[in-house]
Amino acid sequence: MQKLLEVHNLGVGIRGKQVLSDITFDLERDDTLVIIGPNGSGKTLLVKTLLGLMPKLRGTYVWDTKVKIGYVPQKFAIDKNVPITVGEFLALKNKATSARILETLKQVGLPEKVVSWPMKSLSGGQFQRVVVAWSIIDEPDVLIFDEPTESIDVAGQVCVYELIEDLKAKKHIAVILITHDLDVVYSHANKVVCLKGGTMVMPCEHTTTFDKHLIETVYGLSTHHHHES
Amino acid sequence: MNPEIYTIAAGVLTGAAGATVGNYLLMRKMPLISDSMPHIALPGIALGLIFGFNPVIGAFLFLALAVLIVWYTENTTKLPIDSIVGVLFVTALAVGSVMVSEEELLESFFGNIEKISQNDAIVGIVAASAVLAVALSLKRRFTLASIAPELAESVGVNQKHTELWFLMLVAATVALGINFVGVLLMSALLITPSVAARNFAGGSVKNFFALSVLIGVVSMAGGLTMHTYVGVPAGILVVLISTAIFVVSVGKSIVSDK
Repeated sequence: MQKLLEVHNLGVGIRGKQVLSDITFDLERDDTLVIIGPNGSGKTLLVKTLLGLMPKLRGTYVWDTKVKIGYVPQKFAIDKNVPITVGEFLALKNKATSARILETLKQVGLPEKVVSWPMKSLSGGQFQRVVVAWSIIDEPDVLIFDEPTESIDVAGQVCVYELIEDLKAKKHIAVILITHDLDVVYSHANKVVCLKGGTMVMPCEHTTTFDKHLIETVYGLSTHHHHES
Repeated sequence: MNPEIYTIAAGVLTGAAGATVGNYLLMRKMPLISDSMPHIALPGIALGLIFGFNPVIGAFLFLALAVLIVWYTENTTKLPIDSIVGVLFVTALAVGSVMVSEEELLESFFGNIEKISQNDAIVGIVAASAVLAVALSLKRRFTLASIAPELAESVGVNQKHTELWFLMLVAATVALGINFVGVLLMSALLITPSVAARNFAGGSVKNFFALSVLIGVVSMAGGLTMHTYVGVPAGILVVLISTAIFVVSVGKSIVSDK
């Protein structure tokens, strides 16, 4: 299987202070890799480093040379005071033609007429779909979502994950998700990177074999507790 | 050709450039910079007057130097940009005001189009066209960096470089506007067309840009033309026209919100 990304003993620091250490995993087509861990465990920092937005201290990460990445940052919002339509927003992405914009809107389940709506008029769920549209408009091989469903309701969350599954089935993309939602791990992920205190508490494994109890210990949850909530 | 035509052409292009750069100021939530930054030009204007070179060039050199200081300080100390501009603004105002006569100071504050020679106007036409061309060619990058900085970063837009480009465009626009509206009335060139256009734009960034440029051009052309007939300084008329359009735009947005 073609490796899209190989990360080996990666260490990352902020202002010289090591925050992440010994991160090792790989990503192949059709993977859904979930990065979990308590707040402050370095999940977003890890993703930003892989995107080249933060310098690494040690170790390596190697992307396949032809790989195209779509990224949606955490708590993403756009300034509502700026007048901009959905179509104009999506056109800000390089090489997004109007035909491609309409096609992508359809792909994320929005009607074509949304293209002329002002961004500020969208509901939370519609906004989230437009954000997904932004990330997939140039047909990436890897999608990286940092807590994609944090600000939307349950129906919207289901929609985001359905979209991801659909894209995986049709385009064989790989997905990296940062989430706090353990249900996502159980139902969508095939690989898990579990961070605590800046390092992996266990090797990156397939979800079929990993130790659920260990993940729940990281979060301070018992299995019983989790299923009740 | 009537020499005034050159002045009007330079003014109209400066109005268009001012509106475009002003849109970015508004999108980046930095409208107050349009009030404080122009004062930084004063020592440059004064040096031009004292040593007999074009004060607009002196103004631009001082503004460009200030932009470099502001940009460097912001990136090394993480102080908010408005506060750094604020410190430079009062310093430049204090230094500049003791370097020139009261009459010259008033001219720098409110502009004086009588001071614009035909050659100045031609240079103004070229410079304003260049500012407008650069501002429009960077529209995608500026818009994305303003409304969604993290997305911009993720598609390779360098925030620090973008901000430097942007501040240099503000500096150039302010220098171009000094003879027309002066240091004190610069907001009429930079901000009023933008806020008025936003009220008319109906949620589209394309309309926002087109309308702000139209408002900037109409205000400037109107002010410069009326000045010949009513004997009021052109800068004052530019302010009054753009404010009138702004008032109409507020009325429009109140009506359409109902």
